[in-house]
Amino acid sequence: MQNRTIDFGVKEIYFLSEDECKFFEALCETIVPEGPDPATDPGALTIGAISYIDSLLYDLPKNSQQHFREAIKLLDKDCKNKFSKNFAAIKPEQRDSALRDFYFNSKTREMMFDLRSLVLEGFYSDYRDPSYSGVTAWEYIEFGGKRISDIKKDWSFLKAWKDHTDGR
Amino acid sequence: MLKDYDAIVIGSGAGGGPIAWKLTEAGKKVAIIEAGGFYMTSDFNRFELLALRNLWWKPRWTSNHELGLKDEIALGMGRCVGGSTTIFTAVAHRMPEWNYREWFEATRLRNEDGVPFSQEDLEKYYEQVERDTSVREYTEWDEGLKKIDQGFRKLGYPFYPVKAYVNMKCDKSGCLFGCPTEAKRGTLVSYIIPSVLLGAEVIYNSTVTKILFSSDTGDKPRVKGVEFVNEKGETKRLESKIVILAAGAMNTPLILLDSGIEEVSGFSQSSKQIGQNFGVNTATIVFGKFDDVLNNWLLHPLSGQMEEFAQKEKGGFLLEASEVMEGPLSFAEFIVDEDGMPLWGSRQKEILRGYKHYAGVFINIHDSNDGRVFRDQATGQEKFHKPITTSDKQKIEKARSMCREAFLAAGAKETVNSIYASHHVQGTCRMGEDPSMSVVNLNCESHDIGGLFVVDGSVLPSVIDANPSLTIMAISLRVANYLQETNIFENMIEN
Ligand SMILES: Cc1cc2nc3c(=O)[nH]c(=O)nc-3n(C[C@H](O)[C@H](O)[C@H](O)COP(=O)(O)OP(=O)(O)OC[C@H]3O[C@@H](n4cnc5c(N)ncnc54)[C@H](O)[C@@H]3O)c2cc1C
Repeated sequence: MQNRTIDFGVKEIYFLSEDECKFFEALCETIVPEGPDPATDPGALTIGAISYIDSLLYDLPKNSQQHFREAIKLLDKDCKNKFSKNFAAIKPEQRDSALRDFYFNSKTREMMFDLRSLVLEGFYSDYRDPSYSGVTAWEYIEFGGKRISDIKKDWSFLKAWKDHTDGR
Repeated sequence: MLKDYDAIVIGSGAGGGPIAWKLTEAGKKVAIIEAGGFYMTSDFNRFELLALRNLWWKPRWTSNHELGLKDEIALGMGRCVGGSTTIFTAVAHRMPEWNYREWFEATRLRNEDGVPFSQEDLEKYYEQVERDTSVREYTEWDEGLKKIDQGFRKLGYPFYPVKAYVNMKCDKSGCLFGCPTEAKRGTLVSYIIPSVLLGAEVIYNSTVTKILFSSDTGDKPRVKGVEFVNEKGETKRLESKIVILAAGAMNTPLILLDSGIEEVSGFSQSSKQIGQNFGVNTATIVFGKFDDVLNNWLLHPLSGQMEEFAQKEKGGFLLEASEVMEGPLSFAEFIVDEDGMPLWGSRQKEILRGYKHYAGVFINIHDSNDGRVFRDQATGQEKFHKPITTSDKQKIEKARSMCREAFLAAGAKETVNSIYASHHVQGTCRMGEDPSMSVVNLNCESHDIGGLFVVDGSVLPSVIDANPSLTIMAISLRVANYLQETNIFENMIEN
């Protein structure tokens, strides 16, 4: 397995190609951006949402993996038509506009929700990559209280964590 | 030939649970086949992501764009033992009396005496469910609801406490991710576990793919059993004297269509009704942001209701509160901007940052049963059509602006809307006497296949102006009573 730790702020990547990582990096920045001080105002990239997305897709059945690959391809195609570059290479405002168009195209609307969900889950579920130990979503938005603050979140259904807790 | 079971019940939610219990209690050999997993209340906690993965179907969206329409609805239902009642918000309301008239208009539904089906025909079953599930008035309101009520009082429309399937042990730990106490008395706690204790078998993580029937039994085909894919991915068959299909209004019609009922019935009129008349009570939420910290995720959601406008003629929307989705992930998925666009980016993050200040009003409209559930022949995909009509939109907009006004009157600083969603799917196998208008008869038995009963939200002839589960459970007990009174198991000639 190649080690891309430095590139995407996560310990290991199992499924995504380099280009797909770049795509999701851009998507993370767009859906849940970092604040001016990521240490107190983290975004999806800060906490390592890429490894959530990577592990989740890794375990999906082939046809669902294909569905996401198709979504990436279609969004990239839209971007190339409009901005002559793929989603990862365009400016932040252009990404917003590309996603908006992706939503307004009825054929790709569900894909827009699916892609957005990956990042929202990778952040608002309170996920963090095994290599990150800073502020995460629930602390940031002060979500907690009875039966919530003391949950032991078991991430072992994700490859990124299963391997980590297996002591690798 | 010896059957494996007296009855196989497909699905363990509001429809499947009560009848499985009644038959088991009467000494029948019962198997319950459930697509989702079997979790106990002690397995439930507030880890939102895993709860959504383990207890819910992934949201299934309508494909209204195929009809040339713009708006889609996220259909979110339960997929676990207990069905949607494991994750429901436990409002236990009887159907208003005017809905019976609408039922009669929809399918000419009459009782055994030939009189239009009415409140009286369900009364004793309602009472029984209310006893079995500890229904009571829920008066321990959360701070969010108190504020919402203050706002609505200023408009002249106070909220009233709901009745809920919740006993006094409720410690306000939320509903949508499974109740971590046994306070919420959904079918899991009230009917399924007691059935298991009396010997019923629950075959979980197992998806029924087909109803089996034999067509060499005289005038109409008779049910033989079911085919399903078990936890290990193996295809299995089990035989039973009768089959109770209770997979919910989205899956029940798909199972029937996949079983080839249309073909075997010679494309009968009733078989063409399967999957038609899909109604959903299209819902949406208005969230209001207050200065105070509410942490409105630690509550019994929907503890109060305002039904002044529920009846179609009076506006056609029902309001319940408070609901902020109980977790940031669901909240983030739900919120939209002024134009109805789903949010992301810094705007969404800013709203999430204020999550602790929000309370929410759940709007449920009386829409029409003009949707459809079917399988796309070309791709094999499940499809759900449910148009949001101009008149539906008017109801939603009226309700939204009233909620906004009430929030502002109560001191909220801003409001945010949600996507369109539904948790009240109904109507896809209506009950009635006329096979050209319905799929099952008064006793919920298929017009086309003997011994096949549909007992879930599918059978409701038209959308009702109350949360549907109590009515579905009452119908389930009514059918159980019919089976016992007619001695169906003893009188059956085995084929
Ligand atoms: C979040 C939420 C909140 C709600 N709140 C309320 C409320 O407060 N009050 C109220 O009255 N109602 C509420 N409802 C609605 C209520 O729960 C439903 O109307 C009711 O449970 C429907 O009953 P049903 O038997 O038709 O389907 P369900 O209860 O959904 O049960 C169907 C079951 O069948 C299983 N199944 C599906 N396909 C198959 C298959 N092929 N093989 C085997 N099993 C299968 C499903 O997994 C599911 O467990 C709520 C629903 C949701 C989702």
